[in-house]
Parts: sequence; C-alpha cells; structure tokens
Amino acid sequence: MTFLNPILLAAAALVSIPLLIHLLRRQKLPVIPWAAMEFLRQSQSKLRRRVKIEELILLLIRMSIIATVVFALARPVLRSLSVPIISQNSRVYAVVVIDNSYSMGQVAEHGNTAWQTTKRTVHQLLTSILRPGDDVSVLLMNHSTTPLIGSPTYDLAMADRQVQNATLSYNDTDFTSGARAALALVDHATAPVREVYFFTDNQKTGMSRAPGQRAVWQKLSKAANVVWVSAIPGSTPVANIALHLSPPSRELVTANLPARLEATVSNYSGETRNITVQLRLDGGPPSAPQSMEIPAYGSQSAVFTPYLPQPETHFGTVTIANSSTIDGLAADNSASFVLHSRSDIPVLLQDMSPASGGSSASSFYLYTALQPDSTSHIFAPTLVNGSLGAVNLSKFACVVITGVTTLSTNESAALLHFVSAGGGLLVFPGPSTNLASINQLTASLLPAKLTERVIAPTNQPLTLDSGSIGDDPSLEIFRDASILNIGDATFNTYYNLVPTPSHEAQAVPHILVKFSNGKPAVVSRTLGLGKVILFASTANTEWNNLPARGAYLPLLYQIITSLAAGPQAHMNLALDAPAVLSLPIAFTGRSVTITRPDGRTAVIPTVLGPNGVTVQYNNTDVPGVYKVAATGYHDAFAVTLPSDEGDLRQMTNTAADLQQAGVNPARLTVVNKPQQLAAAIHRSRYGSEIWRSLIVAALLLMGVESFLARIFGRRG
Amino acid sequence: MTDINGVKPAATALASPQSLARIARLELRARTVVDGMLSGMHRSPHRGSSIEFAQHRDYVPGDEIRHIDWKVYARSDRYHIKQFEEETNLRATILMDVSASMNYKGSQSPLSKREYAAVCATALASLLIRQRDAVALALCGDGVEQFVPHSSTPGHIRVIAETIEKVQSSSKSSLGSSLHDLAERMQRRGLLLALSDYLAEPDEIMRGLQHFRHRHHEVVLFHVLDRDEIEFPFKTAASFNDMELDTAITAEPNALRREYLASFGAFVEDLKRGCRELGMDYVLLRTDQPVDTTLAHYLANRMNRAR
Repeated sequence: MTFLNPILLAAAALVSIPLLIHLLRRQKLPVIPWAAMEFLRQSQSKLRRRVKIEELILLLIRMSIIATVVFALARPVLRSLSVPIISQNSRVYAVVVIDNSYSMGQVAEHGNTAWQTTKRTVHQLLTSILRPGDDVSVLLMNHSTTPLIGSPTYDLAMADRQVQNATLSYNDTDFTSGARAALALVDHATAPVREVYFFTDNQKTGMSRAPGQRAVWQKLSKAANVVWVSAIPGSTPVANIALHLSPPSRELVTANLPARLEATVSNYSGETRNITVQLRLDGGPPSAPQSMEIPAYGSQSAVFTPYLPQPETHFGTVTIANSSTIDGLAADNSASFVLHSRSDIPVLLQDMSPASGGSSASSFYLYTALQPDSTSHIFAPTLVNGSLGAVNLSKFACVVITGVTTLSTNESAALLHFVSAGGGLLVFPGPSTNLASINQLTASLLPAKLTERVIAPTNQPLTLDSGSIGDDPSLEIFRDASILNIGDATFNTYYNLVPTPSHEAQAVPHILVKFSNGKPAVVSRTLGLGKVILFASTANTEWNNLPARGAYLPLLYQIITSLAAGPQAHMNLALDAPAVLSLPIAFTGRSVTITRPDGRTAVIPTVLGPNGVTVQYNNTDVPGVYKVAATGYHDAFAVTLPSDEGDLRQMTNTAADLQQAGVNPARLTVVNKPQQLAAAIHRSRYGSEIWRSLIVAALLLMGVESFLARIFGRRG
Repeated sequence: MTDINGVKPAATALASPQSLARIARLELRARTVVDGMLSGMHRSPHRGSSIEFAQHRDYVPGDEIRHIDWKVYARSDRYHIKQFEEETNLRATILMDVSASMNYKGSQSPLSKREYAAVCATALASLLIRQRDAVALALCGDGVEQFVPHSSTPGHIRVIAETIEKVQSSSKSSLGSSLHDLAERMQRRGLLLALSDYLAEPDEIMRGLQHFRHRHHEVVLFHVLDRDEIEFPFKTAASFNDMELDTAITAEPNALRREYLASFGAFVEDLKRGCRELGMDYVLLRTDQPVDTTLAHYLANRMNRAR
C-alpha cells in the first residue's frame, strides 16, 4: 500500500484525541457530595467490569474513526497483485486486439458506431496511455484473427494510423481466435509488463464454448494482463433484424424445375415484429412480398420457388423490405444468391443388369422417373445397357449406374476423369455385384466399400431414418418427415457400406442417410470438382419398395440435380470461403476478371490441373454477387454473411463470463465505458485508491459509536 | 405530583420549603409550620382519671369504687363507672439524626435534609407541648450527641430549637447504637418520633427500633430524603464524594441509574416493611415538599386510626 498524500499521515496523531478527552474528562469531572453512597457503590460494583469494557470499546471505535479519516485523507492506494512492484514503471508490451466483426457497425451512442468508438479509444490508448518506449502489436479479430501489426513496434503513431485506416469485416466474432493470436505474441515477448487489450462490442455469441478454449484463456491471462474494453455502454442490446439465406437445395435448375430459396429472418429485439421479405431476380422488379410476424428473439423462414426458364446464370437477392426503423445493422438485411439454369440435364443411365427386362430391370424405375412425360421434362436421360463402351461422358452432367456388376479399368478411369472434372456419379448395386472387383477397382472412386450383403428379418424390414440426414443442402427438405417422408419405404436386403478413409479433407466420405438400424444407406464423397453418391440397396423394387413410394421421385431429383450441378454446386459460398470455377479447356492460359460486390475488380489467371481448367478466388470477404467474366465466358458466384452475427445481445456479466472462459480474475480488468480506460489501466498497473471506502467505513464507525454509546448509556 | 406515601403537596402551603428557607430562625420556621396545621389533632389513646369525661360503663367486680358515678346510681339504682380521657400524660421523645449525610441538599431543594428535619422536629415539639405533652429531644450522630430532657413548659420549645441550631454535624453515623442508648434512657412508656435518612447500618437501625417496641414505646419513623436521592436525576459523569467518609466514586449516572434506583427502592421498601412488621408508622418526608401538609396528612391519618 502506498499513499498519495503521505504527509497527511502525520495527522494520525489525532487518534490520541479521544484518549486525551477520556483522560481529561476523568480529571475534571464535577464533584457531587453524596449521602447515599452505599447504593451508588453497590450499583458501581455491579457495573464496573461492564463499564470498563464498554468504555474501552467506545474509546477504540473513536480512535478508529479518526485513524480511518486520516488514512482516507492520505489517499492510500492498494497495489494490484498482478503487477510486481519493481516492474510497475517498466516497459510495456501491449497487444491490441480489435474486434472488426460486422456487428461493430451497430450504432451505439450519440450516433457513433461501436467501430468509431473503438477507434477513438484505441487512439487514446496509443497516444495518451502507452508511453514512448512501450511497444505494441495490433490484431484484427473476427471469425479468425489477422495481424494488422504483427511484429511489435515502438512507433505508436504509426500503429495509430494503421488502426484508423482499418476497416470492418463482414465476418462474425470469435473471441478465442483473438486470444489465441494474442497468446502467440505475448508468449515470446520479453517486456516485463505484458498487456492484452480487447476492444469489442461484447457480443454474447462471440464467446464460443469450443473445446480447448479454456486453456487458451488461462495461458493468456497467465502470460499477460487482460484488459477488456467494451465499446457499447449499458446493457440494453441494440435491436436488429437479420436475414440469412441458406445454401440453395439445388443450384442447378431447369426450365421446368424451380429453384428453392429459403431465407431465415431473425428478430433480435424485445418485441414481436411484422417483417416483409421480397425476392429480386436478375435486377428485375421485386416479387410479391411475404409477410411474417416474428416473436421477440425468434426466427421464421420464407421460401421462394422461382422458375428460371432462361438457360443461363441467374443472380438475385432476398431482402427485408421494412427493417429501417428497427435495424441496428444494415448489412444483414439482404442476402444474394446465384443459380444456374439449363434447358435440361443430360443424364447417362447405365444398366449393368438388364437381363431381366421390363419393370424388374434395375433401370426401369430410374428411367421412368427421369422422363415422366415428354413435354415438361427436366432431365434428358440416355439409357445404356451393359458396359459404357465408347460413350462420351463429357456430354452428360450426371452418370447413374444401376445394378453394377464390375467395372473395367478403362471404365473406372473414364468415370474418375468425368467426376474430377465436375461430373456427378450415382451408383446402385444389385444382386450381381461383384464385391471383390468393385471394391478393388473403385477404391479411389466410390465413397465406401461394399463388404457383405445383409438380409433383414422378414418381420423386421429396415427403413430410412430421416433423422440421420446431415446438413447436405440437397437432402435438407427430407428432414421434416411430415412434408416428404422417406421413412415409409422398407428395405429387406442391402450391402453393408464401410466409408473409405481419405487423407484429403475434401474427399472424406459423408453418410447422407442411414437405415433404421444405424447402418449407412447413402454415402457421398467429393472428388475433384465432382461428387459420387453410392446407395446400399437396389434402384428397383427387388430389395426394397422405395421406387413405389412418394418420396422416391423428389429424392432422386434432388440427388441427381445436386450431382449434375458439378462445379456450379459451390456458387453460393460462406464468407471467406474460396470460390473455385471450372472453365472450358479453351481458356487455358487466359485470365478472368472478377468484379466484386464493392465494385473492385480482380484479374485472376486460369490454371490447368488434374481437374481441368480452373480459377480460384480466395478474397471473398464481402457479401454479395461476384461476377466472373472473360471473352466468351460469363459466370457468377454469391457470398453470404454468417448467420448469428446479427444477434447484438452482449454478455450479461462480462467479468463472470470471461472468468468462466478461463481468464484469471486477478489478471483481468473490465472497462465498461471507454472513457474510463485510462483510470482502469492506472488501477490495473498501480492499484486502486481506497479513500472512498475509508470514508464510508468512518461514517459506519460513527454510526456504530453513536448506537453503542446510546446502548451503553453514555448519552443523556 | 404524588410522593411515595401518596401525599399530595399543598399548592398553597404556608410552610413550603421555599418559604421556610427564607426564614432564618428555626423557632419561627416551626411556628409557621404549626400555624399552618390544625391544632388539637393529637389525642392520647390512653384512658385515665382526668378532667374531661369520656363515657359510662357498667360496673364489674374489681373496679375501683371511687370511679362509681353515684349520681347515676341515685337516678337509676345501677352502678356505672365514669371514664375520663387522658390528655396530658404523654411523654414524647424526638430523635433527630445530625450525621453528615443529613447535610445533603439537592440542586432542586431549598433546604438540606437536616434543615428540613429540624423544622419538622421543632414543629412536632411545638404541637406536643401545646397539648401539654412532655417532649424530649435527642440529637444523634456518632452516638447521642445532645439530649434535652422531657418538659411540657411552653419555654421548652425555645430550648429545643436552640439545641438543634447549635449542634454540630457528626462526621459519622451510628444511629443503631444511638437508638439502643436512647431506649435504655426512656424508662416510661412513650412516643418516639425519629427523623433520619436511615442511610447507615439499616439492620442495626431496625434492631434499635425493635428495642423501643420491646419496651412498648410507640415509634414513628420520619424518613427524610432529598429528591435527588429518590430519582437520581444526574446526567453527566461526576465524582460522587462520600459526605461521611473520605471516599469518592466516579460514575456515569446514565449507566448506573437503573441499578441505583432498584437498589434504593429496595432499601425504602425494606424500611417500610420493617416498620409494618414492628407496628410502627413510616412517614416519608421529601425535602422538596411542604412540611405542614406532609405532617398534617400524617397526623390526620393517625387521628382517624385512633378513633
């Protein structure tokens, strides 16, 4: 403990005043000649011991009151335990972590955004609080954290300029990513005092509970003092309406197959809101609005199913029409999408077990399903019985093999090339499937091995478990069995599928649907730019009755359009996800121009590789439609915002939440108002003044003295 | 205001302490008191052959023949005895405590306890002598300091007053032994009027009073107290110095008050109970209340009891 006015400690001698008063009173008491002494003596003897103790208590309290007041006047400071005394004036290494997630664009106070407030506060830190000789690193934190100034610099003015020129991202928040990046910096720092400053809007969704994060926060608060600065004063969250567009269930449509766009609108406010949503396609007029009443902090979906008759690339937006009065963030009021439309989808249907013929042929139901009538067709199926022979696969968007027996080396190579270049392959086994041959030859092609044929008990046929459907957009509509129920089909025989392990993350197989016994029913894998899907049972009614069920047609359509979309299956991307476009072979050695939603352009050269001619663009940091153009080539892709960044609610108790995350409370300083930053840092480094507490203590002691004096009978 | 005897002080009493304090001589003070009281309230309970006829009663064998009223016998042919009221043969002794404790004079009291007791003693002596009773005076401190023998002459009042005025206070109090001593001196049955604060040796005092009762004396205890002693009204801490011994106590009155009042109240109650048990009268004399009213009230009660 130190004192800011130590000279006033001399006044501590005043504590002797009560003692002197006590002694003087004893010396100068009035004298009363008294007759009834015996009674006085009796009373006195009964009370003497009690009175002595009471007088001592009162004397001590009175001396304590004076001592407390004197201490308060001397302005004592309790030093922070987190900073060793010898290093309190030492050089500081400060890591400034600035939250630039797009929620920082919310208007917080006096018309300023949290981002503007943060910039001002960081300016104060770099120009007024940190001293010459201190060094600083600056990180920009959102979903991931990137260094603005990675290597520590003594040039605080330069650091300030960099911060003032920094821009907001459109990403969501992950505080732990900032902590991890800051830890990497302070871990190697040699400065005696290390401080990590987080400037953020305190967004509740930013504190994930990912495994391992606790260790990160614990290590960080062990290596440095953590100063948490909230740019949003007060705890009342800013109201916001956010729209999030799910990836389209099919990105490839035809004139007769409508697109399906599902937008989720979230009401992040304390009141029920009536929200109107509109679709705008290819820059044309908005569609008929869809209105919905959304409860406080609730969500509702709006589904648009537009037909796109023109065989070309289409783009559009889904927009909230009436959000202006209640909206805290503008960027999440609309979402863009890109869809490809073709006149039809050419599908090659190869039946390897055609012998039986008629409705028992394994291709019968498939062919019938793909061409239900000749007028409003979606697919253009071509049936091949037996081997592929010399069929030119490049003319097709998807190949469906049913009743597969065995594949020759050439067929396997052709299919592998076809898929890698963006084609889709769908395989149904049959009773004649040669397991050894298939598994050997197609290990690099199929997503799973077929190990054995399993026959279900007659009285316990298997079904498809709609609850096992993952997050594949093409099958998402089957999750709700009340709309389309794939669970009413029964299976009596199937092959046991064992997914093929892969070292490439992209090629890892996914189980799309399981049987009711938990075994894989449909497995997929990505291969190059294309995709392969393998069923565990037959495509006809030989081993199951799926073709006779209502869900068969939509299931088949969703799977084949998803496979047929090929490279275009990834035209609707999350923020910062790389866009990979496949171009005709003629574009080898040329470049394409990408026009971003913010108007900037980028020229990217094409690359010829195992997947053909491609262009990869990584800088997808702005939501909207990116247009890709070259001479004789036009394409587009869309980028959407993350879904939960629009929830502007803050952590209710920042200190408690951070402690729960793993921050050592002794090394944590929370600043709820940016203007209190200087005082908080001073307190964090040098301790806190306690004179106010002492004055309160003195007042309390006075009250206690008065009360006890009355109780003890020392008042009249 | 009502004192602990239930006596209401007369608002217009001639002998209020304030008025008496303005009169220098004790004899005059006593006369003021007596003038303010009804004369002739005192009656002897004894019957004897005297001047005033009291009543007739039937003759019974053993009665003296000289007491037979022959005139009645002549008219009625029956023997009747004449009875007379004895009025002048009472021998009263006034005991007054002159120990130092009696010099206490509270801040609200015009007279000290000794001054108040002196007025009462002189007034009582005056009343008794007017009724031809013989009055003696015993001034007690550390033993019987002064004794004025019985006399019923009118000039005896002056002797009594002068004796009271001249006697010095005794630094010690041994009232108990004084009572025994006095009881031995009073051979004939009589009345003892004892004025004291009874603050010393309460057990010894009660034994001394018992001595009087044992010799068939009538005893009236006049308990002279100051308002301060009864109410203990002090507020601030003070040093209380013993008026008889060279000792002092520093005390916080607010802290002590409850204990003191309980202890003092018990003392007064014990004294009252002792008097009751011994068949003695107890009269509280508060020095802030008029003397004549208090005495008159007591004497009236006494008259009523005698009838």
